[in-house]
Amino acid sequence: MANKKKTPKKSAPKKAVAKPKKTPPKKQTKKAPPVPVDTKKSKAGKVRGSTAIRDSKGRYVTKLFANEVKLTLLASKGIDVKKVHADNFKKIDKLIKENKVKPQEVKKYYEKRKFIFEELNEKGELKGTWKNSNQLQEAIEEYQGEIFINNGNKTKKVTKDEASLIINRFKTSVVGSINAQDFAVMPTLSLSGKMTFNIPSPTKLDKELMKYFGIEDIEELDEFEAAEISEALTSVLESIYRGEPDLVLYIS
Amino acid sequence: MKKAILTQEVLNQYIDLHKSLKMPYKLTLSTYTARIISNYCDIYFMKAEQPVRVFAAYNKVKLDCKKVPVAQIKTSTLQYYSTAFQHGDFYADEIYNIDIKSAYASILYNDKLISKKTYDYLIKLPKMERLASVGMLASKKHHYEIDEKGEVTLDRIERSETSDYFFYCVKRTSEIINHVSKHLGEAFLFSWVDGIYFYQNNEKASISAMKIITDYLNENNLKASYDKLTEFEVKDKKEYYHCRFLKEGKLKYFNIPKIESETKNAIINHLLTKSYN
Repeated sequence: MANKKKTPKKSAPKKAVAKPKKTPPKKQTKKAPPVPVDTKKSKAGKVRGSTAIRDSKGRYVTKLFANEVKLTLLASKGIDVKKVHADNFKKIDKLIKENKVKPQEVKKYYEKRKFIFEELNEKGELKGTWKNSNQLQEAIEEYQGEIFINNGNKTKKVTKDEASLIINRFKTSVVGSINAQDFAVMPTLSLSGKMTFNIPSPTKLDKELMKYFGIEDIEELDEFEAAEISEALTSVLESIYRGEPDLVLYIS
Repeated sequence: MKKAILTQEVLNQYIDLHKSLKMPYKLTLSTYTARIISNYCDIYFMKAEQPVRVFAAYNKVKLDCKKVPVAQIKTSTLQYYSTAFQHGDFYADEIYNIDIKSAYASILYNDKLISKKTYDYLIKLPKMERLASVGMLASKKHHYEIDEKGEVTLDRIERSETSDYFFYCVKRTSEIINHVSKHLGEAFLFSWVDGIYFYQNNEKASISAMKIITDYLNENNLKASYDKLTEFEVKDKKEYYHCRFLKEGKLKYFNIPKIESETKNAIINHLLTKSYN
């Protein structure tokens, strides 16, 4: 108790119970000579830091993703990188050197296209561009990943030949019964090699259209104007895919 | 070979029957036709029987075209539409539309791919028949083989040797339409194949815009039709524009896909062509 009273207020707050450790007196040592700075290394580190790709939250992107950016840049320069994998660091570095691409150029390329790259980086996939039936089939012929089709009920993995059959059956169906000239879809492409697009089964589409118009035979659609059918299709496709269907039919 | 009118329902019934019988069959599909060949049947479906004059016109066009070579055209580069809509919905009481008359037939004739005689024959046909005769230049058939397990093999694709003449018409039409849209400047709204749509806030301005376009088309030996469209409404959907308007009192709709930036195209092309193995 006596000790407590003696404790000066300033140096010891009331709640503090532990005694402050005594710090040993600093040894009087000689100052170490300054470590020589490797200016080359330091410069290289600064360059790496300033050219590294960061997302909008300031986080560094993975090396693999940075390689995808490099590959896209090389492809946009007309260099064939089809067979180069993102994990082939040696090959990518070689291509970058050979084509005199500087790290600043890669960063600039990424920064300008950040909004697209970020979608790809965050989701691992990117909604593609519209492709009409011919363009879609050409893309599939060249594509080396897996193909998935969402028919409105389920998403099913298909072979290239099955995809071709589904596309052409749908085209024959919409051109035949709905008088559309063609259709276009917007495939989603993933970094891991998946292409997914929507094509409803022609039977399901016909059924939904008949329900919409209150008819018993799809042939009765001939009695309706192209504009009415077009409006109905928009609504039916939105209902099948519960939102924008990423599929449009060309009816004029 | 039996012939039948192509309906999805009947085609599906034949396909389902083969599936349930576990019977292999061959299926040929083109835009307007389908054929099923198996041990059970040989049936040819077509959308509607075309009049003989359509095939006659197609043969005339084909014979003329084959005399003049055209360069191979990449279909992925073809443009069928363009838009200049701003973000958000848009409404105008009136807009204007110019359609090039018999665009593909005129281009074939102007660019000396068909004779005057063939051109005259073509333009006398009703619109849909004329389109069918020129469209046949690009006909394509897919031949599939489906085994008893239902597994599909694309046996071959039969492309018409005259496809590039049709794609040449598409390419030239879009070039002309793009040129016209530049003349229109800010008045330009959108184009769809051989039609161009524009907005002017007064009649006088629309007349002068039409005159500029007419002069340009006349210089290129092309004729056009003009229409005033009313109650024009655009809904800016996430991935496309939904356009609705009245043409001569009749309701019309267009769903026009949004055009992506070159950047996105480059990234998509990379994802489409890269190796994943």
